[in-house]
Amino acid sequence: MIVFDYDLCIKCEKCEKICPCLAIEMNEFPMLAYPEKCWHCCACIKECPSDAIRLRLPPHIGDQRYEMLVRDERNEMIFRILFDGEPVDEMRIRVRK
Amino acid sequence: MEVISTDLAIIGGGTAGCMASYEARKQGIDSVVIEKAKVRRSGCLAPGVNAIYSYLHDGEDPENYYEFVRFQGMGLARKDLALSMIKETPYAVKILEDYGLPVLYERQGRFGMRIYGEHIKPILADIARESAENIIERAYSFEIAVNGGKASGVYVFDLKNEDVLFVKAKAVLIASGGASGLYRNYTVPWYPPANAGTGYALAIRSGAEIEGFEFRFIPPRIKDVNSPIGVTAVGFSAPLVNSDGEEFMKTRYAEFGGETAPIAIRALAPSKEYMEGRFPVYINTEKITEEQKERLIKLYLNAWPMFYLFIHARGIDFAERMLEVIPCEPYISGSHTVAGIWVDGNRMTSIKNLFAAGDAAGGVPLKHVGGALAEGIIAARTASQISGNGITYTPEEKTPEFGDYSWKDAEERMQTVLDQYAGGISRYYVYNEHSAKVAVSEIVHLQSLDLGGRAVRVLETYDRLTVARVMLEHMIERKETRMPPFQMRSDYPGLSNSNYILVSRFDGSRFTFRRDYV
Ligand SMILES: Cc1cc2nc3c(=O)[nH]c(=O)nc-3n(C[C@H](O)[C@H](O)[C@H](O)COP(=O)(O)OP(=O)(O)OC[C@H]3O[C@@H](n4cnc5c(N)ncnc54)[C@H](O)[C@@H]3O)c2cc1C
Ligand code: SF4
Ligand code: SF4
Repeated sequence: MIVFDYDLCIKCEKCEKICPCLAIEMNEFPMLAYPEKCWHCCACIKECPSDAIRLRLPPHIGDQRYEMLVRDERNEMIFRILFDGEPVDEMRIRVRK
Repeated sequence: MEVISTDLAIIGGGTAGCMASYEARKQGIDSVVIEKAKVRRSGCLAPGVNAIYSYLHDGEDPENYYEFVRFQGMGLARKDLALSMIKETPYAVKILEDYGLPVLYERQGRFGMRIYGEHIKPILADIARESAENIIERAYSFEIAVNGGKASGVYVFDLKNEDVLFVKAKAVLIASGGASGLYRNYTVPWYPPANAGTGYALAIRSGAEIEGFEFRFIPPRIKDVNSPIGVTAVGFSAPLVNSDGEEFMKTRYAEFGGETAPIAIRALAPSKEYMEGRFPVYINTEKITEEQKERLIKLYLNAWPMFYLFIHARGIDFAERMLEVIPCEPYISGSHTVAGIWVDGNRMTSIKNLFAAGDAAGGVPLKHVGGALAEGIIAARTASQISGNGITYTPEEKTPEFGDYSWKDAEERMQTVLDQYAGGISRYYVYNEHSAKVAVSEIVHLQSLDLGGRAVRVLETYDRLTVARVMLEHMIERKETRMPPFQMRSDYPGLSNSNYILVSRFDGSRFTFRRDYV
């Protein structure tokens, strides 16, 4: 599932527009309106310009203190694992030639 | 009602749809892409992909590919479709490379090409934006106009302002992927929930022929995250083991090819291990070196990023704690079985000027990204040959009807019924005549309800019910077990090797079947 940090959110609506499954809806802030339609694909996380969305495993799968953040740096994508909000691991991949 | 005119209307801006718009432009015709989400990240490729399967490497003979898919389909595969498809894959991948996709020119398995594919969908979106005359996003195709036996356009529900518009076209291409969300899932879905089987439902309602719907796709996956395992199993030659440490594919399924048995058998085997109590089942990753481990995680980041979070949160170290494997809930998809809309060699359906490509089309049991790209190209090429100027069809005023029975309640019932009576995960994929008929009556009942709620969810639910109904009719019509667990009956338990693909047509009230011999 995805979790929002509304302190960081700038209400740009990009997450709502990008979600392939139309699972996010905007009220004042974005919310995961259809959790069962969330594919856990991370498209919204990659698209968010202000690191306001993180991926968490559904509770039946694993430890809720771990989260993942992804940042799109155009030719590179940075994936970061957080534990209790603190980064514990990071990996980068090249995405364009 | 707004009417937009074009040469080719493309339903679904996914893998096949984006590539079709490229080829349409190259052949000198206009196209309009209708996409329910946003083309930049929609469909199967939204998270990325690390290898393009069904790719014809330099020097490889197309006939060998056909032999490979025939083996994977346990004898059921259409040769004409397989050969014409595989020939186009190098051309398709070259286009993606020209637009910026990093292609590694390394094999992954026999017909796989490794890529850094995290950005494959944004790149395909760039291609579509340059190629199509118009891309309509957040727009749901809900009916195909058929006039005088020919497809003449598509009715579209604009999800942004809840208006109906009509895309009038000389040809219509269904490229909306397969069907996810029919069966109850035990964890996050593997196949994208957005692919609700709409293309199948559109074709069925138009009276087009459907093939192979009795073969559900049930992939073996990493337990709980539902990640693909191909990259680990094939890329790193990791075998499956049960709780006794037995490499059961080798000991029990040697006659089917052991670790490289057809995909159905690789799903059947672990489910049997579960049923008979020898679980958990693992993919043995002990021999993967530290260097390979980093490589493997990066491959997953390109395709299924949740995997990276999963191994951290579960403390999985490949050497000490291996990855668990289990087959997941069934799907209908032309990507991995012959299920789909029946098409001819030019990817035209049984309705004139109506085409299908990718997971929406049937006949080739292993199609993947390579096949979807190729079929989009073939369909657009054929569509560009359609002569005649303009269409005489006058669109009708149409609006989808919404009632007040919650789509969610109907969906939950559908998923439970299919799970319990039509060979879902809770029944270890088995069904029989009686149970399938119980499911039919429940689905027919759900179809009679006036569903309400958010428009996109209601339309998806109706489409899923249409697909479920046809799937069940196919499951009942095939009176044998032909491909366990994809199609497996308790009332006809012996494994058959019949050589036909079942083709159905629904005329609005009854189903008729024919058999295509391969
Ligand atoms: C998790 C996963 C991993 C995979 N891994 C691999 C791999 O490693 N290698 C490989 O080669 N293949 C892989 N595949 C298979 C491959 O991705 C698919 O077979 C292929 O991408 C399908 O292409 P398509 O064009 O048929 O469907 P898609 O690319 O899914 O496109 C369908 C499009 O139609 C849109 N749509 C749906 N309904 C409507 C509607 N009503 N109106 C308008 N638009 C609509 C969708 O939003 C979507 O954009 C994988 C698939 C999945 C799900
Ligand atoms: S993870 Fe994917 S499916 Fe889930 S809300 Fe984000 S974009 Fe939508
Ligand atoms: S993309 Fe990020 S910043 Fe924009 S609305 Fe969504 S959560 Fe807020």
